[in-house]
This record gives sequence, structure tokens and C-alpha cells, in this order.
Amino acid sequence: MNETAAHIGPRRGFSLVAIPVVLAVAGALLRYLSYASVNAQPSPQGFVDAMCVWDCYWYGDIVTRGYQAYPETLNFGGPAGIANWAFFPLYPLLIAAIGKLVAASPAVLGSIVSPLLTLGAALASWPLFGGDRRPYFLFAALLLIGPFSFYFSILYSESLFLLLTVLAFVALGRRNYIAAGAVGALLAATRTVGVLFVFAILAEAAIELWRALPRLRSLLPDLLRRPDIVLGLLLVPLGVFAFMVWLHAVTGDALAFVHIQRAWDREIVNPVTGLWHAFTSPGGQTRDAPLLAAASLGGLVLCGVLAWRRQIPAAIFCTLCLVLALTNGVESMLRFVAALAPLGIVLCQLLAGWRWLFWLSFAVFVVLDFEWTIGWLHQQGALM
Amino acid sequence: MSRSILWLPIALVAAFELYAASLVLRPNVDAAYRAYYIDKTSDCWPHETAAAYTLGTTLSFVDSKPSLFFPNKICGWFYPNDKGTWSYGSYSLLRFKFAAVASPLRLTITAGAMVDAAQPVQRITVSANGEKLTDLSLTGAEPETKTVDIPASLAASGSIDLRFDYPDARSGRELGPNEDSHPRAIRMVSLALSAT
Repeated sequence: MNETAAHIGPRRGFSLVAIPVVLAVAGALLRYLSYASVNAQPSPQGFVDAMCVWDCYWYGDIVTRGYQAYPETLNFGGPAGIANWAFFPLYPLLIAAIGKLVAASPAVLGSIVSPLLTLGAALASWPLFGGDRRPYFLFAALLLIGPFSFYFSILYSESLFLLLTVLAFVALGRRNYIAAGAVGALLAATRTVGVLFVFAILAEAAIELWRALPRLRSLLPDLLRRPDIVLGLLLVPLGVFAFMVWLHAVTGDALAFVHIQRAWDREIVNPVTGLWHAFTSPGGQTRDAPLLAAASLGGLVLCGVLAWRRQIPAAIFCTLCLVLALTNGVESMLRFVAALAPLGIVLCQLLAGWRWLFWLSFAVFVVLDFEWTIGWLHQQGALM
Repeated sequence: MSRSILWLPIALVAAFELYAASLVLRPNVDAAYRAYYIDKTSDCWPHETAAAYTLGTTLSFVDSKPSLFFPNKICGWFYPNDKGTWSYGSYSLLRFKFAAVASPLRLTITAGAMVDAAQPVQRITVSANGEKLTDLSLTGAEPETKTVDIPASLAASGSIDLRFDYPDARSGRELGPNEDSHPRAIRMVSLALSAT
């Protein structure tokens, strides 16, 4: 679990960095080829613009204008007024900060920064593979040249969420609760579900304290004797609380990011019945609902595999993330599943178990990267 | 270094988070925002609209068709689809600003209704500028056309706010489990105001 590049010889250590870098470059080229295959006059700027769909607009809006003071009162087609508060601040803040140094549009900056963050996530994930190179390389392929890599290479917060999730679990694996909490705070400022990392810390702490003294009654007193754990737990929600203070200052409503969900017609539903209805009643507002339900179910199955492998903090975190997302229905669930790094890691650990399956998976990843990038360019509903 | 020094940042972080949490109880928003987004007592988010209208124009409520009703929409309408636009909530509003005329106007609407064997009628109360004009009844899911006369006194102002109230509106979930649950009553296909 703690093997690092420093322990495994310079040549093999070099490959741990070089192969993900090569995969990142190859992935970028593949996606450009994918775009070029459906465009008569391809160009790099055209590629960036074509990839910037759906939420990309919102992130660009936050980068250039900041958060709105009031919902739109101009008609956009639906019953409500929309506002950009549903999108958490850390990623657009990062892009805006880089934009102060480099004169480029948010979409262009996103198409440069996001792949670098994703490459960072792939490289940083090495300690989570216990020295096993094959699943590590497959995970790097999944992120950088795999079916979901288009999510991680555009002006979307998925790449940052991915990197922070990996860093948070690396810190937690080392039982560095303060570092895990600090990264968790950034995670909570990146996406709504990031705050749920607090439960991963709680689970890891409970496991550690239980192993030291397996008595239920002593857990809380033991916890209070560990201010590093308490601080780690308190740090995680800091990201979302800081966002709330900012929203209150700008809009007057600390929970504006929750309330504005109404503009997207999001309603709280029972995750189980939501899944069932998505499978059994394909009609309705959500496009490709059965596919999205299948992706959700696949994600939950991988959560079960994590639990079965005794990776309890990761299992709890991912399960809660998926269940919380499912309370709004199955929309965007493929993207939400794809951005949960522990699920990708455990999937690659399964697929890399046999050499032939490793290579088959790699080939499938590459083909799907090409195909699904076209799907993204054509704004296929399941990929939203 | 003693771990006990960590209690200082713990106290600071906890104090900040308590302060942030307390803001939830103190929203500083206007009444329209509170009603629509926080209390959810209203389904009408009032859109700004130029409301410009030429008498005799037939507005479409069908997606991707010309003369879409958006320039006259205030609130209470769902997204247009290829069969029309469902009403959203217990009432809908439209605004029309036109060259004033001395004659009465005729409102012509074509709409289907959310009806079934158990609830075969959707009643609609039509008002203009706060004055009730009539009660209509729609009895079929397929569109039917209805007309309502608007007195000359209202037409003379060159500005009409039309309101449709739906006492029999039903949950959108009755159309399918993945549909929005907000009340629906009619699916408007077209609407026109013309001088008589």
C-alpha cells in the first residue's frame, strides 16, 4: 500500500510517470481526431468550442462574471428563473485565477487545465494501488484515454474533483487526518457531494480507534483525545460553509445553491423508486433514463466491491455520493459515477486481474473514448 | 509539539461554521424569491417580457414553431414540446402590449387538457387585467378551440394581462413517473387576440 516510485528502481519509477503522460497526450489527440471525424473543417478553436456544451457555459459564466445576485428574469424556456449558484466555486475560481495570468477564454483555459488536473489525479493515485502497476496503468488509461475522458478535459469541475478525491484518500490512507480534512474542504468547495468526505474520515477514524480499543463506549472519548481527527472532521465542511457565506453576501440566501435546483426542475425523490421508474418508464423529462439508471446501478455495485475489499471509507463516500445524487433522479448519473475516483480504481483493479482482460479493457477504453467523444459533441442525453 | 494546540484551530473553524450555518436562518431576499425558491408557495416566477404583440397574430406554444409565445410569457408555463406547452402550477400569466383599439377583442385558444375517466373536465377561469371574463371547460386530451370576448374598455388600454386559473390542476406525475410533479391542467397549442 505504501510503495512509492522511490522504492522501485529508477526505470520502473520513470514509467509510472511517463506512461500516464503518454496516455494524456494520446488521449488529447484521439479526442481531436474524434472531433475531426465529424467536422468538415476542424480547428483547435473549433474543437474547444464544440466540446464546451451544457454546464461548460455556466462555468464560463462564473469565471467571467462571478455569481449572479438574482435569478434570471429573462425567459429561457422553462417556468423558473435560472442562476449559476448550483455550480460550486473552487474550479471556476482556479480557472479565473489562471485567466489573470493567461489571456484566453474560459473554455480554452478549461481545455488546458482540466487535462493537467486529470493527469495529476492519475499520477497521485499510485499510492492507492499498493504497488500494483497494472491496475494503476489501466486507471490512468481510464482517466486519460478512456470512455469518460472528455468529461475530464473540458471546462467542467470533474477533473478537479477527481484529483482532490485521490489526494484526500491518499492522505486518509496515511491516516493524516488534518491533510485529509484540508483536501476534503477543497473537495467540498468543488462539488455538492464533496462534503460527504467527512464520513470517509469518520469511518477511517472509527476503524483506527476500534482496532486500538474495540469497545463501542470508548469510541467517543477516544475521538476527543485525538484533536487531529476532530480538526480533520471539522475542516471538510469548511468548503461548503465558505461558499454559503459568499452566497449570503452576494444573493442574501446562504442556501441559494440548494434553492436554485428548482430552476432545473430538480425534485427530491426516493433513490430506489427513482431508479425503478428510470428503468421501467423510459419516457419523461430525463433522456436515456434506463441507461443512466444502469450506470447508477453499476456505480452502486462497485461501491459493494469496495466494501467487500474492506475499503470501507471509500465505499461509504461513494455510496453516499451516489445516493445523494440519486435523490434528484438519474440525470447526469453517468458523469457522477465516472468522477468518483475510488470506483474507477476498484474497477481497474478487477479488470487488471488478468493480462488479457487488461489489454481488452484498454482497447475498449480507447474505442469508447473515440465514440463517446462524438456522442458528447452531438450532446447525447445519457452523457449529460 | 503537543496535539492540544490543535484545539485552537478547532475552535476557530467551529465558530466560523456555526456563523455560516446561522445565515441559513436569516435569508435576506425579496418576497418573490422567498415564495418561489424557499417556501415554494408560488409556482409563478415572473419573467420580464417586452410583451409586444400585433393583434391578430397567432402565437404558437409548440416547440420550434414560428411565433412562439415567449415574448408574451410571464409565468406558469412549462417547457414547450412538440405537442404544445403544459401549464405549470395553479395559474398562468401572459402579457400583451398592442396598438389600442376601440372595439372589443376576441381571445382564441386551442388547447388540450389533463383529463381522464376519473377526472374528465378541466375548468379554466379566464381573467384580463384582474377582471374575470369567463369560465371555460376542456374535456379532451386532444386540442379543442375556445373563444372568449374581451370588452372594449380593456382593449382601449393597449395592454392586457391574461390570467388562466386552473382549479382542477393535477400532478404532472400522472403523465408518467419521471415527469415533473408540479400541477398541470392544460396543454396550450396556440393563442390569438384579435379585434372584432
